[in-house]
Amino acid sequence: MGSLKLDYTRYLTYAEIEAALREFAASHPDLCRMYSIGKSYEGRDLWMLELTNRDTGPADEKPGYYIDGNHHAGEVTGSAVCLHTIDYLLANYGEDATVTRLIDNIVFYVLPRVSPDGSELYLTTPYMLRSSVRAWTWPEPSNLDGLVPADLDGDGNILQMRVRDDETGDWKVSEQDPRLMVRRGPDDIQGAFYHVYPEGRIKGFDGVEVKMAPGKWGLDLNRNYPMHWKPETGVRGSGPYPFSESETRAVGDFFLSHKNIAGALSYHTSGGVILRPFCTEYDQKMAPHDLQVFKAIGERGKELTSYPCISIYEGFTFDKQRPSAGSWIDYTYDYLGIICYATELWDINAQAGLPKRGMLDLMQLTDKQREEDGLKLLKWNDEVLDGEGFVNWHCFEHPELGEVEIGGWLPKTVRQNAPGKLLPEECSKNLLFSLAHASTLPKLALPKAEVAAVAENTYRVTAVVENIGYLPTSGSVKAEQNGVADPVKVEVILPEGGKLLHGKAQIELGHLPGRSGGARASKRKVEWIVSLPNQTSVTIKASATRAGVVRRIVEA
Amino acid sequence: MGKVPYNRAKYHTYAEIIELLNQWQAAFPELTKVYSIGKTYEGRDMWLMEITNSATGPADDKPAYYIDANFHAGEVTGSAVALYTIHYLLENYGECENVTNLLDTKAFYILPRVSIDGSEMYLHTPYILRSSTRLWPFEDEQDGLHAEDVNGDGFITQMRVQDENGDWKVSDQDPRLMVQRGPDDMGGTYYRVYMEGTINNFDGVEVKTARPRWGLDINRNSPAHWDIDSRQYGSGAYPFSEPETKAVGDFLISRKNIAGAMSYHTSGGVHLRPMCTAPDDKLPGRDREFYKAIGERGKEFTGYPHTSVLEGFTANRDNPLKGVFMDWVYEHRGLLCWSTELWNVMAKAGVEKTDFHSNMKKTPKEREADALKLLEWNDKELNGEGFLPWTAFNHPQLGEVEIGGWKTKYVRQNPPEKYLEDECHRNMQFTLVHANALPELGIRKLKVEPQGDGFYRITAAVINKGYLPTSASDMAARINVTKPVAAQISGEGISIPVGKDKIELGHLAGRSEKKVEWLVQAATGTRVTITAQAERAGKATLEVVLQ
Repeated sequence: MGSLKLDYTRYLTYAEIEAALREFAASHPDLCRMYSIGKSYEGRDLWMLELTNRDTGPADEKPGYYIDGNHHAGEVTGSAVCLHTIDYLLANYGEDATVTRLIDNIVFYVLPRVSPDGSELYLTTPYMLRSSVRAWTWPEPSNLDGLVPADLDGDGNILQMRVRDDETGDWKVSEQDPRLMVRRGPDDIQGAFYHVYPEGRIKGFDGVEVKMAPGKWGLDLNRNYPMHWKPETGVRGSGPYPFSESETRAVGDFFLSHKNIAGALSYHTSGGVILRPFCTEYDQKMAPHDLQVFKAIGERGKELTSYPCISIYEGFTFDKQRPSAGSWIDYTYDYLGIICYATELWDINAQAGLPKRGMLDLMQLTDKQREEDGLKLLKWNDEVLDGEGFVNWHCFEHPELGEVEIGGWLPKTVRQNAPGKLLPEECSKNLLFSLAHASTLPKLALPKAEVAAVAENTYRVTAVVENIGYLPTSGSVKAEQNGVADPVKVEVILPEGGKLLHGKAQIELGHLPGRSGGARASKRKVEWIVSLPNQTSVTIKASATRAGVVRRIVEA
Repeated sequence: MGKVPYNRAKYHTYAEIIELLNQWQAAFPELTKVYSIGKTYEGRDMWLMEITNSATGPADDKPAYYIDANFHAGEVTGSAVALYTIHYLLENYGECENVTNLLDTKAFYILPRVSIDGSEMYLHTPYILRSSTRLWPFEDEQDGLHAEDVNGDGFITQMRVQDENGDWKVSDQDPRLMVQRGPDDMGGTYYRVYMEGTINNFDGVEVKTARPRWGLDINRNSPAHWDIDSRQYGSGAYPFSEPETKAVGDFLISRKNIAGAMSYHTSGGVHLRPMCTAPDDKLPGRDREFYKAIGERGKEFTGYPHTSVLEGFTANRDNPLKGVFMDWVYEHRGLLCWSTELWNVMAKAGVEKTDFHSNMKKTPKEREADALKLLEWNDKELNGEGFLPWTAFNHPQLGEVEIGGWKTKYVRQNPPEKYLEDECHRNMQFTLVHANALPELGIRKLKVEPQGDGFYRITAAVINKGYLPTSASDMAARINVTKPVAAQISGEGISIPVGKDKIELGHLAGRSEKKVEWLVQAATGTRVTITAQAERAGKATLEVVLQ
């Protein structure tokens, strides 16, 4: 194992990420290129690192594997895994067989931070936001009354406020642990009850009603992609129109201009689950081959990360009438036919020893079960985090509500992201899944290429083109159905004076299945009869946009 | 012992119920009213008891909880729970804080028996019938086997007849138990098993089961999703065609303060809820959450699971139950309504609880094991008296038969009387959970600010102290069946120079509040009354003197 350059027990700001990428590129000019793929809403460059061994061929002649992080501003664990992946690949190139094989044969495109403006706000202020800092929706949210989250006591965190109200309070203090707030039961008539609100100020307070103001930053970049996009009335945060945001537009254009990408992974938090398509359909609507591939690669992911792999629609969508349409995964799979995953990193529940529950089961938990879960989480906090993940309730004189108590879980680096000391492990296990997935990409080879004389100056050129990857050269059946991946082409290139006696020099072979295609033959034989009066050396070139380019020079 | 002697281990006849209601009314005049809401098919009055502390306001001004029982004639456990609930509420008023608070702030409408005619037949004769005694859909006797107490022992049980083509055989574990003959089971002794009865117009060969004389199911006679008899067995000629269902329906419509409901059935030990014809994801708003919270809390008392009829109690979703009362109460009246199937004899016998769908899938072997446990329980707990041994009998039409089997009424369909009090107490508690969750209006944070020249700015918060919204459900708000909250100001000689004296606030979510504000012109010292009212959340008033 080579040693890593960066410290993975903390989350990096935009400037630190930029500096780290520059350092990677500068120290490995043969393997890395760093470039901007566009600019964020506030004008920050979206830095991409391209990683391949250029001695074995240019990037665009190799199958590509794309990784991004931080579509959502606060999900900064994703950026950390992206950086850790680059660091790991560079440190282990030439040392580790898998890493070396990958860098020699494919190209990695790593975009550590899609929403740099939002992440900057998240990392440098107490605020939390979904993605972009652009104000959205309509009407202008900042004009509306209600509770606006803010750090009132100046401790740097926006926690929760509990306000005693024995008549209409819907919460009470757990009898098991005074830190834990539990739901007041439907027939719970007498006792000490509380309202629980996010820490914040109330704009336009009438002295009675506390309602939440609409969020100022209502955009969700991961609903702004064009496939199945719906306006705000159908999908919250989807933006005014598909690719309305410069960040998503840049990612979308990058995929369109890098047709070699055949696998993709997007990092989110949290929950500890590897999500796969569809977002908007049941599994039965998926081509059986693709479903089998998603499950097989996903199963490897579970072995490596312990995170189960589930369909977003079937296992992660509570209201089937309102799926998460217009997401990145809709664009990459439903449209581009790229086998892709979105990992929800960091599973605080697993850390605390809670049973693994599906999202739909979580929604069904009873108040009693939620209390038990809450107690286990607090116990974990006390034992593993020395109690530092939970801020004890403390009195505060609220400008609108009077006497309140502020306290609760640290939202950013305990609930939404891994605490620093647990981050390295989160990174290292998840990057292994990306390498496993990257190892499945289609890959063209020419296991046989011959030139044999059939008459004077006349030769038979024979080539066998094979896909030695796991995935088909199209990337998926979906890609073939959508017609978005160029087929395999094989070409004979003749020396000067050479002449093809029949047919075409370049033959379209359609797509070749990979090992995932089962019994279907993954290789094809091609023949030409050529006249070679001068030299007898010919070049065979096989290419497919998602399976790379391979050349062989053969002599008679 | 309370003021009125009440036997908790007994199924009461109609006359006994009337006597009890009268005694309770005489003993607790300030808490009760008794009146008839209509007459049955045979002309019996349907007596209902209204319970609330009249000193804190009339029932109409309070959110109310409705309880009925015995839509189905034989399900007399329901009546027992209803009567027990009356007994418990009355005897504990002023003693138990929860009961006192409930009767001070809420009203109960309790109808102990809906299908009185049918229950009278059930309690006084060997017959078992579904609901009404009206002959329907045929007024004449149909051909085929009709249930009768052939041997005159007072019970209608079963008849077994030896037959080489019979589909049943005697269990080799217990000679009382009949088990299904297997598909490749040859060369043994086999039986046909019929219900005990006689065959109308018998041709000497074919024994087919006739449709019962009393073919109505008045729990399929409500308007929501009602369908004709050929598609929904027993549904009646048209919705509310039966005097009993019409009386109940009219009562629920007339009492606009009813905000929650329970309708008791037997058996199975499960709290059923709507919807019968649509899946849970069609429940509007937070109703599913409300049902879950109340059901989970109620389950702590009864141990019974809670489920929607379609999700957890319907074998074939393409043929759901239609015209069911609770669907009407929920979908047309917008009230969270439960229908508890009281009494789970299998659980008592130690059979592991499984849900309805798993039960349907049990193999013949598993069913036999369950039945053996039940017989074992009968021997141990009931001295074997729940099962009548097979006894030879010369049947007038079938010749030599044996008659025997379970005493259905007070073993399987209803608990043996010694278990009744426990069943009643637990289930009553379930309804108190729901009753405690009803919406309830209040007024607080009243402030009077003199603005000079006889003007006063008056502000207050109208609160819903209850767990449920003032509409009582999100369905009610969606179908707009109940008036929302209004706040009104009144006082001698006051004038309102701007706005209105009555402010409509819409519905209030459970445990929430909204602000009201008036500018009032009045003389100093004027007494002003503020009233907040909603049909299902009661009425709150607060008075203040302008200074």
